Amino acid sequence: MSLSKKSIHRINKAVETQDFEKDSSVPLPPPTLSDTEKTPKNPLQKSRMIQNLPDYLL
Amino acid sequence: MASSTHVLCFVNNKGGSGKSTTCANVGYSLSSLGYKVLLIDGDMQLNLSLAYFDEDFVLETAKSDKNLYTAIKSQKDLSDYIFPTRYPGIDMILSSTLMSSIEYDLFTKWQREYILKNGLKNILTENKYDYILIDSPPTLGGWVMNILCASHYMITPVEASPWGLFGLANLFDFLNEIKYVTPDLQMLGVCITKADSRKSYLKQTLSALEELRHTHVFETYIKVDSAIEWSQENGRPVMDYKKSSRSAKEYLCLTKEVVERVTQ
Repeated sequence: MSLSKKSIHRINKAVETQDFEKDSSVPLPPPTLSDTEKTPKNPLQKSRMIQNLPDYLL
Repeated sequence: MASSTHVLCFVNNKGGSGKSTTCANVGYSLSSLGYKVLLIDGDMQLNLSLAYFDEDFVLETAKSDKNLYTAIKSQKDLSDYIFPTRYPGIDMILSSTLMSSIEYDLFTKWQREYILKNGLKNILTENKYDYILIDSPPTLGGWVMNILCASHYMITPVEASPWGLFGLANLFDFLNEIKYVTPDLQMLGVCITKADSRKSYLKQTLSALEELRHTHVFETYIKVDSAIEWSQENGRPVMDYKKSSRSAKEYLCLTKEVVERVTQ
């Protein structure tokens, strides 16, 4: 099968999987805008993750 | 009050697929059909900005604090970053070369996928525009996630080539993986660009695309046309630069298809 045909096959598969997931699972709702407004400026401030980051990323 | 503004993004992780050119010319065509349009240049390459403004102004704005990068970095309301273009009914938020580092800036922000969406909130509430068109960079990172989360519809320009279709498949895999954060985003369609009818491969591309299921392919495809490069050289959309050109007519036809699908 040619590259273009294989690609079309992959697209069809991806789209059909999306439909399946949409019908059979409960997707996580996107966060509300009010949630965003309530959040601290830097939620990673106290996280262990941040300790491993180089200074220029902080 | 619900907004009547339609937000469309032009996304493809493959470079050179015609995102900026299509965004610029669909925007101009929408305006010629009587719609009010806001263009947002989300790409550090500044190409959409260059389609409407001269180089000096684009570079000056890119270095100033009145561009998309500054707005996103400081999580500001995007209303304050809008510039009128020389065309009535078309406004733009220009980009910055600093958009190249936006991924780092997004990294530490809470709910970082929704920063662009939040920034557009007031513009949408005002209902000042019929369409907001967002151009995106050729990547699939956190910034493109922002663009997808802020949009109602997505258009994917794709070059008629085997690697173009391969890239399209990668994009669909990505969309599949992030569906849970963009549940309302609709793929409006795939638009073939840079089609060269002298090449036999175009037929192969069209034939392959006929096998797509559940994915719309716009009937109008944009053929190679030197008027596009000349319009870029002159900092204008092709419909303004040469209205009689083939690509100008094709972009108008494509835009009518877009409007029809959005308002269906």
